[in-house]
Amino acid sequence: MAFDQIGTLGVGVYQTPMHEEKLSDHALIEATKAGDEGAFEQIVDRYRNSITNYLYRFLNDYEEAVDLAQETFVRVYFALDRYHTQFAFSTYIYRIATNLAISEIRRRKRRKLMSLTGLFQNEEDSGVEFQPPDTRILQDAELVDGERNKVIARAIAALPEKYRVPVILRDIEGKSYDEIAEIMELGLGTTKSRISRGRGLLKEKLQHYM
Amino acid sequence: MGNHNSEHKMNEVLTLDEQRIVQLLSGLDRVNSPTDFNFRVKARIAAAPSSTRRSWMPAVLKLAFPVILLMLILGVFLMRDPGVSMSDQVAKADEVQLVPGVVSQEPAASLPQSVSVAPGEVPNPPKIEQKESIAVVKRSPEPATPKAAVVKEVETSAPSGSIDLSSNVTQGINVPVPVNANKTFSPPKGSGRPVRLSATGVFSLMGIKGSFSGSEFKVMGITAGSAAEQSGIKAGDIVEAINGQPLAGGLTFPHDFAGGSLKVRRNGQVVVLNVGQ
Repeated sequence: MAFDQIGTLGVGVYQTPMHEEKLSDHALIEATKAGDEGAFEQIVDRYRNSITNYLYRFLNDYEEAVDLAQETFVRVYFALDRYHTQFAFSTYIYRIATNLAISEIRRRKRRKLMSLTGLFQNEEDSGVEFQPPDTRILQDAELVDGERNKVIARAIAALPEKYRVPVILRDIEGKSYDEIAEIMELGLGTTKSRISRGRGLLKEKLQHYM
Repeated sequence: MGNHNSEHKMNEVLTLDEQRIVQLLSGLDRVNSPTDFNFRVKARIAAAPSSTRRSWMPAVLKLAFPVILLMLILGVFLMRDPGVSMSDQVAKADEVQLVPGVVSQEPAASLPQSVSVAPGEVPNPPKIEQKESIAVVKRSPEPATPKAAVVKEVETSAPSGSIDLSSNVTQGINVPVPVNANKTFSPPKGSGRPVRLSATGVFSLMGIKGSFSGSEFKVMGITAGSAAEQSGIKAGDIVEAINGQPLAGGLTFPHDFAGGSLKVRRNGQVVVLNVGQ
């Protein structure tokens, strides 16, 4: 049954309202594999905001983040047969979202015309852009907060990918080190050191707000 | 998510700077997906190309189809000639070549028992069986010579009542003689590929005797009553091409070759003669 036929055919097969509250991700996936598209809709509802927020912080572009979040769910849907339940579904979906976001970043870089900063960047700092501290005095507290958030968002988005992913997952999405290590397919020690290094880079950029 | 976030951080020992960074990051506003998010996901799934769709076919069947197809193809090859491997068949097909000089087979059951020609009467072209045969030989690295290369000869004997060309029954009567009217050839069975005639084989069918000199064929003699004689080929002619194709190496013709044009050089002049047409 096609996903766009939900509501006309799928509801009767699977008692969605009865089990909606306590069903695990794995149970919903199994139900989706069995042909219940309503179960997949629940998965989308469960993760749509967190994935969108994660991608937004990664890309600092809301439209692009929404687009990639939708693409993430499409990829998940068509790859459900290959999903193995020994991994947490949240790990799986964040890994897909991360890979898509990294691909998007690299695609943008390829499109980008050669710039002066690009000529002199070394590989280690390839994702870092020059971000001078904003020392202007703002009158309104709300404006100050808004401006500060923008600067923080830009500072995060300017981190190299290998630091940006773990920092966002840890300090914004609240993932555990183990989960982050699984999402990034790295060792625990490497994950921790990257988070620490990423925070150090942010500290340099956000010195004005510390 | 906020509670979840604070739980993790409680177990982590952070420096003051790190704590401040964590505080700044966790204080950022969270963004939500748009209200039509689910609808757009559905639309994308519905519009996805068929190659990315989840297939109804289990993965095992996906693998089974090409395997079964491959086995069927192999089975067809092996069943064509049981007991002979496919490589043998291919090798055999590559090794056959027609060499002139000996007879064809096929007892001419349909041949007329006798031919009588009444004065003033033009008979139908008689089906004449010639005492020559075409042998199937193995191709050797060097050009095969009729003396050394004959491996299998199909015995033919002219049935009683058939006409021997040497007797020149049609002498004096201008009857067009098809190139292979009196010679038939059946390709060897089991080769799996149609057998083709070499240029030498074609000359033999036409009734031309001679030898190759480079990419030319020097006519040494003509079989009496043959198609070549009818078309005016003479000893001493030099054949340069058959049906417009130069006599280079590897030139072959269908085994049921019915006749064609010969480009002949005679006394420095080039003429084109139709043989058996």
